[in-house]
Amino acid sequence: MNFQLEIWRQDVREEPGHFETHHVEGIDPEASFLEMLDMLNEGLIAKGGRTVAFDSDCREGICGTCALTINGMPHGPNQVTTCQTYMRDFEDGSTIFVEPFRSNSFPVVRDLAVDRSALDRIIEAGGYVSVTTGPQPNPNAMPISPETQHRAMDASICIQCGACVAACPNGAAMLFTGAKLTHLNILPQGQPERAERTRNMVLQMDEEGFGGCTNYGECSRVCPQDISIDVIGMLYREYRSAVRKKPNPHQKKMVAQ
Amino acid sequence: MATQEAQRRRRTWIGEAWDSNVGKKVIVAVTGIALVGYVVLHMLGNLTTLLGPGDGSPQINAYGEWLRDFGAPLLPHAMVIWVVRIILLVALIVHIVGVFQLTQRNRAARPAGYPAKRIGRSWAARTMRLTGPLLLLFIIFHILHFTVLAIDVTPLREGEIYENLYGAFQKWYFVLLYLAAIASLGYHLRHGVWSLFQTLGLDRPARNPYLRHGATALSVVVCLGFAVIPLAFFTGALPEPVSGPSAHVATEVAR
Repeated sequence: MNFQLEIWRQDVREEPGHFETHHVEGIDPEASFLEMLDMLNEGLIAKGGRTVAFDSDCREGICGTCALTINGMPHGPNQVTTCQTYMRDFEDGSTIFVEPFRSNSFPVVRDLAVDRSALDRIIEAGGYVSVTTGPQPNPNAMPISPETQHRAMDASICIQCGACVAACPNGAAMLFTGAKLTHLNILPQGQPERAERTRNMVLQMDEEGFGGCTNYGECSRVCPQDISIDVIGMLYREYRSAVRKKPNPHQKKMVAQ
Repeated sequence: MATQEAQRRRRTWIGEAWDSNVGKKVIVAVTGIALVGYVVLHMLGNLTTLLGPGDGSPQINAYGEWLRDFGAPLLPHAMVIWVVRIILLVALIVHIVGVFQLTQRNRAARPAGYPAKRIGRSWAARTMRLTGPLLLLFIIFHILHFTVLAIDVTPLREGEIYENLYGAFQKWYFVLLYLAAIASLGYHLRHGVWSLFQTLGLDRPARNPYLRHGATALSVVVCLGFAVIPLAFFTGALPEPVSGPSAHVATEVAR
């Protein structure tokens, strides 16, 4: 298969980028999109050009590192990660636009690679459970109903790829934050920090310059893990009650004369 | 670290909520409830027009008088109506300021010149920021028209609601303008009503179809309820007001 590629090239994050036209020929329909880019890069190296920079790691759809906007769709046409997108999904001889994930909170590092550490900082703000590790708890000491477990696991499959942000016309990260909050806030281990976690993650989300949700639901349509906007409802629900709680429930320390 | 920072910055919970995108949206949703509630009551009240001109004292005029005298003799004349007006005005201002600020932030979050591809947002959702300002303009016009009685292209007299409506809706351009405003309202409500449930965290996967279809049904009912009145006057389904001596004067003034 042959394709014309319009690829985003940008040397450094401060300089403006532009689309550059490349042609790839003799691509196997079973090649993945990233393998096609690898072949393009091989060709560029042979010609002495600079290769196209893009992110990828596991290439089996579980790590969330690959992140390309293909023909305007984050991760391409199939609601799977970029690495699971195959060239058979594209028409032979067609022109494919390849861009980085577009969001002002994801600055372009080079070409198609973006810096998604804004999402890491949201996790740092509260996406964890601070408990001392110790011996395993007794088997029935902390019962979790199957429904709760399913909901928590359905939310926890978020691989933090950032496609929701890239798909959102408002650049909102609410599907991501909602998924992380749902995961931790409904499990027993997450209860002690529930309100604080919610407030801090929401605060960090605003600090990173993400936009707000307008309930279009487009984030969910590109999510390779098919996370439902239900988690955004959960985010609202949690924030609504968390913001009214006193932030520091600890009593003052008592001192002697 | 972030926690301490958050605690230092925290003033009141409502202030913190207003500063965050999530909280601001919740506040916009709550003010939306007040506005939707009013719209539904207004539509129901309007339907008294359909009871016709009566024998010189139409039901709608009595209804208007009843609204002004609400709570009498316990409360002063027109007190309740002014309280409601102030609540609505505050809700409207908060709603608009909140949406405006959210829109600014949303624009700032997305690189200029690279709008997101449309992949399934509904027409109603997409046009919220268009139907909103249109509705604001209409509300100003509508208050000037039938409350302040300032747009007196047709004769308008205080308290004679039926006559005022009859006169205005004989003009095709008023009918058209009101129908256009009602259509904007319908689309705004279709996305807005479901959205407020989602934004208040009241939607669940199990309830989602009911809430979405319920919102559509509500906007259709509200649209029909509002639209029937200008149409009834224009098509002549609602007869001319029974002319008392004062009505003649009004028609002569108009000529």
